[in-house]
Amino acid sequence: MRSCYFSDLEGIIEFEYLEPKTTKEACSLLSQHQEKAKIIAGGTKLLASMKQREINPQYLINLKSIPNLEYVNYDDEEGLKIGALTTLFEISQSSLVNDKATILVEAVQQRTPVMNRTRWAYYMATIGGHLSHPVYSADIAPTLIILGAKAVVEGVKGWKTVALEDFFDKTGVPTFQNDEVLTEIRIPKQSAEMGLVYMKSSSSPDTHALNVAVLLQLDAKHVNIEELKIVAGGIAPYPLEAHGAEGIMKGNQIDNDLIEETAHAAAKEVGEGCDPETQGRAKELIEEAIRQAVDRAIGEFALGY
Amino acid sequence: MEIAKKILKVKVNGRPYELLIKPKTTLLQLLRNDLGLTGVKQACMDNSCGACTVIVDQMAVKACSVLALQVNGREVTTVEGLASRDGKLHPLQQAFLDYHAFQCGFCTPGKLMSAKAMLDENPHPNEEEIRRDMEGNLCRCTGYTQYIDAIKAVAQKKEGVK
Repeated sequence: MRSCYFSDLEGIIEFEYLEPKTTKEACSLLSQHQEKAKIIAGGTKLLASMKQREINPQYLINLKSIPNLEYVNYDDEEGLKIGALTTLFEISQSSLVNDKATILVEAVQQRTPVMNRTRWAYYMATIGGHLSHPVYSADIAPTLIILGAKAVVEGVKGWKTVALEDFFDKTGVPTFQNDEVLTEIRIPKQSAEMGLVYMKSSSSPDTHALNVAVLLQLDAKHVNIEELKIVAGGIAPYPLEAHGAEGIMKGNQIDNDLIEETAHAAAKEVGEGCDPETQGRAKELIEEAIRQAVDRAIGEFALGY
Repeated sequence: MEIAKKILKVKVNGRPYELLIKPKTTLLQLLRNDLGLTGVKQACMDNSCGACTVIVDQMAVKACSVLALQVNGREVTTVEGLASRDGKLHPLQQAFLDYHAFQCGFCTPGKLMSAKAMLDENPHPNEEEIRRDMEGNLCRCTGYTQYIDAIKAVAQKKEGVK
């Protein structure tokens, strides 16, 4: 909600602007000031929340003062590594991300929340910031989950990696502690024969957009479905994987009825508690995504004839 | 509690500045109040309208929603820095004139800066791309046709714009 016209930062209390030089320093500042402190990266969400008086931090900790948190690199062993301060713009422009994690770029380019759709936020918003806010993370988290991505989280005592599927709690907020900072996203090397699809439904003032990411892999003989992952965003507050529905297709041959049955079960699973209309939309979207994933998975093989 | 002011080093329209500012100063306040660059317009203040759009290192950003300290060490261009030093208008400015692309003109500086950033990134966008990329800039006079034509005319020039 808009608090008033011509709202500015004038009315809020002054804050101190802290510029740590290392991640460790940032973590100790966070641990020292606790809830009085907020992290600023791109600032697209933070400044809007401050203007709307949702938060009023006394300390802003600028992560951009830490060198080397903006990067994209790749090696065959560890896969793709994206620094948490890499902007959505840099991700879209990166030939490495386009090559190694195409569906992440697709998801970034289709993001819808009003504020982040426009050009300026695309330039400013960082992947780390994007993943830290429930509304925005819904867009790209499903693709990161099917890619098997891990988040690197640093704290005062050291660092750890968290699988993206364990990254969010039930309200969609990252599960790490107050004095921890997300520093990197790691995406393992993908097998060439996987069918990966990201799809998003359109939104209207009455209905918000749903999105789904699907991974489908056939076995060595290209007959049976070896691996299937269906992760939906924008339905529950956090990205949800349809584990039960995935089991319906695994180990079986590609079959029209089976795709429909799976989509139906998946929509029911991820849309539990939602109205039938939303579940219906989810089913359509998931079905379409599975079909495309099948095409992509057998596409390479078919060309080999 | 006395809050420490911070030193900000920034280049605006090619001129280097070193200023001592309060951390909560927005880029918009800095440009309008401290540097007198009133071509940067103040309107919605919640990044809805795009009137305050300026370019920071080739990126179009909304000055009302960026802290001045966030542009430390960077280069900012406002509409005042768009024309060349000898007064020759930027091709976008000329096209906006040629196509009568404004009525009251309040939204024009922001639109020019958004359009420049778009063309710097993609020199030959089609109409759909222009409309998509310009959707962050509102016009309360509802002039949503001529400026598209103006940008299209510039985008169709073969050599591109610098």
